[in-house]
Amino acid sequence: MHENNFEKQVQEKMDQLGFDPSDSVWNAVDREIDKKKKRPLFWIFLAPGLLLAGGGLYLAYQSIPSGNLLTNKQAVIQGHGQLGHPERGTEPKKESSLMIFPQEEKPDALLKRTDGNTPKSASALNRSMQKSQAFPGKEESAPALDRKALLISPGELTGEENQDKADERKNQRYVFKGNDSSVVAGTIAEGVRQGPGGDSVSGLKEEKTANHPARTSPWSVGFTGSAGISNINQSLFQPVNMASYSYSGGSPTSGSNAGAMGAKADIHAGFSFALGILVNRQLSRRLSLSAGLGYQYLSTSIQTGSHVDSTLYLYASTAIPPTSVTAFYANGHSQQHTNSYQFIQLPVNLNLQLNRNHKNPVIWEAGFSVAWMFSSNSLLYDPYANVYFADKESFTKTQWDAATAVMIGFPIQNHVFQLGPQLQYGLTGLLKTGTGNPGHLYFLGLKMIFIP
Amino acid sequence: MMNQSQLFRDCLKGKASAQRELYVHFAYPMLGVCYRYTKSMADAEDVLQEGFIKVFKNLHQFNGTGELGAWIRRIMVNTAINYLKKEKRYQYDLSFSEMTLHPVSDENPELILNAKELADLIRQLPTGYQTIFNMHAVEGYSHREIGNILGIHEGTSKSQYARARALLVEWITKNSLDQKPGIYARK
Repeated sequence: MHENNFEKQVQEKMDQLGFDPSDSVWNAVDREIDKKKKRPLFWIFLAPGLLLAGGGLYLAYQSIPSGNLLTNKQAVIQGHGQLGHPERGTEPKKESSLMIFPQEEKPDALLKRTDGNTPKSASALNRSMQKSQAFPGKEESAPALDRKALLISPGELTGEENQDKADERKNQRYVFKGNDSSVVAGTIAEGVRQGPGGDSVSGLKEEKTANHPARTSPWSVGFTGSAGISNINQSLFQPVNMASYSYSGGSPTSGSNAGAMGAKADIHAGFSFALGILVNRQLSRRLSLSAGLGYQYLSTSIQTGSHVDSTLYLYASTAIPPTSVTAFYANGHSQQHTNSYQFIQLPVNLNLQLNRNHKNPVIWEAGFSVAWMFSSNSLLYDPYANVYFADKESFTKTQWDAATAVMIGFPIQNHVFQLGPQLQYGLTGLLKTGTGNPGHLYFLGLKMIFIP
Repeated sequence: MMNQSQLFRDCLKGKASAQRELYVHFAYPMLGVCYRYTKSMADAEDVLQEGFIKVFKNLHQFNGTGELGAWIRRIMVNTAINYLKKEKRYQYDLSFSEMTLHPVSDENPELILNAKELADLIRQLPTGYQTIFNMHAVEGYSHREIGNILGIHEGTSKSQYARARALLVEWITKNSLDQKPGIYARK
């Protein structure tokens, strides 16, 4: 309140003051707020978009070898139910669960199931079998070979075709493939020569599966992604030290007011995500090992004062070696700054399946990763100069992290999809400091694994 | 213009038409605020632009209890002060040296100037004086608040305000609108 008449008059006059701004002002404002509206959508769709694109490419790539499998005058007999292992001599549980098709006919069209269900394509079935061996939760029960399916007479194969055609087809090669990676190959004629009462499996000429391209691998390749929040922990291992990596606020003061210690302010959690590829190797029925390569973006946010383009010599902090900066932010609350940290990450995890449910396996994942920080715009706080400044050299570039997650599997068609909460904690201090609290980055979010 | 609270809600939803309407409604008086703190219309428009970006970015922080206009005005003032600190050409002028306390003059000259003429006189003050005069006389900040915002002592704010007021009163009483005060004229 102003008691003086002069101030009152000034206030009244200034309340009347106004000008029409030029159009360029609104255009610039509109552009900026429009950009802000679009940015979240970009980040939201980035991860799934990359995953979809990667998955699509992988599937496209996968279709080439499965096509080749059917080009060498071979036909593939794919077991879709319980396939018996030839050596174990398992009794069949179902009849007619094998599908036979010669190579020159369209495989998918000839795949018929006697149970009346929609047939799957050969490549899809092949992938399904490969995955069941390569990833926990997709294992199927012990294979059993359908005896009837192998007792194939020329008549059954040829129908009304003439004998020449029947002979020709008899000499075509077929591959019988079980769920347990066993592959038996031979010609129909060889199988027939054993007679209807003979051992249909031993009647086929066995080939070493190692020499056959259809052998399944214990390795599987997939994609990982995660999204969540990250922050910096300053108190888990050491007490918070004001003269270390901490952000202070309180009364906003300018950088010229050196010597004033600001009051402590908060670092807020920021949006974070990671994308990567992984390879997984099955070690036992329940245990697997995975390793990967990925990109991780972590962020936090702080409130700062205005940006100042001026040289400032910082020497008083115990946490940060003496340094000079050409630009800094005053302490204050006039704007929000996002501290981002970008890493290339090499994670290694052990995965233990906790339940016996094959459809929805619950997998506990634990492991370590080494990450290289290749970019960061994070600000440091100097409590003596009362300013925020950027100094990339103050960060520990190589970070070791521990991570754990509980993943729940959801079979989606023939693909493996797992989703679950993940926690990652930086074992390496963020700052290169021996005396102060270096701060540890951590991430909490949802992790997703997709194995096509 | 539609109801302000409705406009505010529509802006929060990101409706482009509402954002435009909010801007049109407040841009005129807010450019006046920015004009008082700067030395040129181009700078004032820069501040206005930056300020409105902040307004739309932080609109969700407005709790709706006070006047939306007052909230926007506070953002404009803060943006203007940050702008003055950031822009090198203002920094020399903005240095607040410690000064002996000047008692505030009791003179209360009649203001026969219109708003723009008075604003132009205020803009002729050195930037430090101009900022403190605007903050105290027009915005109504206390010297303690000004000290906190600008990072100076309360006494410095009082002293600079006293000098700024004395200069303005002197120019007004001499009716020197047309006689520009040479030593403070903008370079």
